[in-house]
Amino acid sequence: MGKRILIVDDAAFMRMLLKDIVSKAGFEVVGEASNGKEAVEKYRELKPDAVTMDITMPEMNGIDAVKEIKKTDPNANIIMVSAMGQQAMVIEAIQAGAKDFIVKPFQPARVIEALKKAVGEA
Amino acid sequence: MEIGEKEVMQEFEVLSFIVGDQEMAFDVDYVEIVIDLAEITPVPKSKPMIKGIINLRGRIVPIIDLADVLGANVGDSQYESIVVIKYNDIEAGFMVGTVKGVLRASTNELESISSLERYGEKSRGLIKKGNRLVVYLDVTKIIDEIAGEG
Amino acid sequence: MMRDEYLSVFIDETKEAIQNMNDILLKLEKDMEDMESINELFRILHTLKGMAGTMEFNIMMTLCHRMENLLDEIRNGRMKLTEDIVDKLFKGADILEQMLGSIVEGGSDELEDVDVEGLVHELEEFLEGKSIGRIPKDEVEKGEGKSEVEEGIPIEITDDLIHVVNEAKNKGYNSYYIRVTLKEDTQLKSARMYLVFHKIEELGGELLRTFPPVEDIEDEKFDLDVDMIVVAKQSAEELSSAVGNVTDVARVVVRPFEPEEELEKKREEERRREEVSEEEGKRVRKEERKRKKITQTVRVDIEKLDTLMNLMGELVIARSRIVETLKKYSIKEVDESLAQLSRITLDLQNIVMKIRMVPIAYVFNRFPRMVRDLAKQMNKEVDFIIKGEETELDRTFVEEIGDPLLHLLRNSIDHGIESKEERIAKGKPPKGTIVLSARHEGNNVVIEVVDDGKGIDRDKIIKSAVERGLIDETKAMMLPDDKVFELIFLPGFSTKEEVTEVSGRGVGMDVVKNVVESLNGSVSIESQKDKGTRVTIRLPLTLAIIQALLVKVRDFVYAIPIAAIDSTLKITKEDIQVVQDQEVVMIRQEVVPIIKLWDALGIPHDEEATSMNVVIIKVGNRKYGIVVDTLIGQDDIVIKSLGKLFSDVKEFSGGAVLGDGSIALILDVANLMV
Repeated sequence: MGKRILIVDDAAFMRMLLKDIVSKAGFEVVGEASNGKEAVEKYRELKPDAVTMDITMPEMNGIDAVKEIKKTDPNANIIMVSAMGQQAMVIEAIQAGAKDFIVKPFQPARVIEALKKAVGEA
Repeated sequence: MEIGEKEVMQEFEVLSFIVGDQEMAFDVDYVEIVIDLAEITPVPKSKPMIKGIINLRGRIVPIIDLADVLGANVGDSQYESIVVIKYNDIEAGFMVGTVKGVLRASTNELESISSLERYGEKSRGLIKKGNRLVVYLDVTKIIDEIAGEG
Repeated sequence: MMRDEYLSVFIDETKEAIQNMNDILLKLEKDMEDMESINELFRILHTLKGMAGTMEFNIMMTLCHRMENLLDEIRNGRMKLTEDIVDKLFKGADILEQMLGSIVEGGSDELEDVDVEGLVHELEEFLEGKSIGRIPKDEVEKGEGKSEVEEGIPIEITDDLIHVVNEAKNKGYNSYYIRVTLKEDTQLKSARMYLVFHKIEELGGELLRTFPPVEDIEDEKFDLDVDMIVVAKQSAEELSSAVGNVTDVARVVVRPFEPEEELEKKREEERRREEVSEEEGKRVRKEERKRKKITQTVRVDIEKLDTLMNLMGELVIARSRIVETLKKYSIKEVDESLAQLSRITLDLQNIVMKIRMVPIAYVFNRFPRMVRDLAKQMNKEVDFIIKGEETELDRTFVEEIGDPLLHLLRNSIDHGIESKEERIAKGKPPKGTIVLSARHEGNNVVIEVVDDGKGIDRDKIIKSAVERGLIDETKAMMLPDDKVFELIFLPGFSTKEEVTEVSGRGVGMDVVKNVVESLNGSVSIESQKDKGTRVTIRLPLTLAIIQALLVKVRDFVYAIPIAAIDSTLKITKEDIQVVQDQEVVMIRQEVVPIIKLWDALGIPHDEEATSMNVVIIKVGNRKYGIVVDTLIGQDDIVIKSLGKLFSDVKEFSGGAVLGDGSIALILDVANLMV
């Protein structure tokens, strides 16, 4: 069984796309969340090996979600999913403890590479 | 003119003033400020209706003799104020007599003036308000005409 | 929303990039082996591609991408640059410019009647090697064999850096020089680099220096490489693998950093560079300086500059007003503060003026490409030389002077430079030379266009002017050369019978003259048959604040720009003579025509007094005197436009508000006496 991934994005389409890419590469998508708050809850509940985290989301944004998750699990592997032009936010997320980031529109190979590195498979 | 022909009644505001023995008005939208008649520096070789320039807060503003433009007869002593307008990046002051104030009128009080009549071409009509008759001048036409000449 | 915010920056930078592309292509056309230029061009296209992609101008991005690929092959030695490719790249630059134009106007990089795909396809063909020979394999290896890192490192080694490194060593830390190279298509490069730094810090390492500096990295002002000095406990291998594991990092070079060794290496490099020809060395250093300068600039909205200038003007006026008012009272204490205020105002004025100054290179830069194209089109061979492009002038002029200069250059190529055969027959070098130069001369900027062509034909001009009824034939024959040449500036004058595509675009020399004079400048022509033509444009350094002599006619005050004044003198009625219906005075054996200002302006004036003040004006190479009632004195004045309603008045170039709030009209000395 592959490593367990939690996908966080407010757009259902993006989650679908990511899920597709990630499962094809042999990972197991154990859950999805559509905002930061949900992400924090799901993380506690599922304890995934890695999380892909969108930045701009309603309720709680991705950066705050990273901070929350890191409080309960300092070793959480979180990869930010960023759009172009969110450089400053990406940096903030890294400061908050995110391990890596990918940029939308993403290339499947990049996503996989980042995930593998995050879970220590690369 | 075109407003007078419209079926729908519309309200508009004008600034009215006296030139010679006639009450006239500009659309308030074009009026920037009204100031007391100031010392005017003549500009030699310029068009005859332009009386010169004034210093308006550091800006140089040309001053136009409205009576001259309209072909009306006014003695110098009758000028009291300058109505400064701005249209199409051109700022200009018109020398006028007493400024009466803002007048609210509606299109059904506006009568068209034939272009053959005295102020016809440079006006948008005649505002009838009780026993007041106000020539509603077309600032844009007047400025365009002065800028276009020469 | 985001896009709008970036659009203006994108437009500015793209414009700059295209300009640089053209410059480099011109260089490459002369030397196809110039590796530095090829690399530079590659970098430009790479950056441009990234910017276009970010702004979602995908057609532009694709075009850049193809050109970039092609250059990548060339810079890696897998292909050779040919004239064909240079032509295609020029074409690419043109299309990019058109795209940018379209973006500026309508916001899209789609061009209707331009075959972008065609060019993209042609570029691909080059890449596939269908068109021209690729380089045999063994040469490739040579190209790649040289290791960049063996050269001196780009980080300045200062004493404190050496100190810190030595301290660290004592505490058991290792010092490393690390070069991290990102992958070509890395997005959000600065965040990526941040991740690299973060990684190093996570390991307990400490960043001492980076090149480019961190601020630049934050602003994404770097290509793909970042160099850094790091102290850490880890081994080089550990560092290398940790950093190399960061996503999008293409290559990591880690080697121990020995400051003394590096210093020695640098010194050696410096020596080597100096050994390269002196000239070359200068150029390199100059470019380095230039680059340094660029990193220290800030983009400022032009409108803000204008506002600043206006405020400055108000301040100058306000100061004059205070001085004026205080003249009535004599208060010692205030005098000192006032003098200080005056000094500060003056300093401030100078600085604001300097901020508005830009190098004339902004205008000149686009000409090499245009001259090349025009010459090719006209089938003429031209060496185009630019001098003094660093000369600074007011940015208002920069916007205005481009078209007149282009017209002059066109004239030189079209009418001036002869065909190759004609030149050989005349015993001239087959290639014509056009020199465009700029320099400061006193309070003026002098711009010249000089060609070694056939010169202006005096008789042809007279014939043409007479035909057009511009001048009387017998009178024309008497005129000295310079007066004849001035006829060219009359509206509607053109000696070329058929309008050629190059210079006959409805812009005549009269337009050149009008533009220059509207900027308070002057233009003059010198020419010698078969030797060439020199057109000289003189502009004041700045448009907004000038020094002027205030004069009075009756109660009216007028201002004359000091830059136009040769001298002032007092004359008596008897000094005035009449020559050919023209009043003149003799000044040191020179006959100078004079004009009474009240006559020129149509101001009613009483009989003149026995003694009069004359201001001698020098416009181009002619002189004349303006007679006035009194000379008031010299003052700094802020020129304000009189506006459109006075566009028919040629006698004044503007107005100025004086210290007492009154207005002085500024005489346009070039038009006062014709």
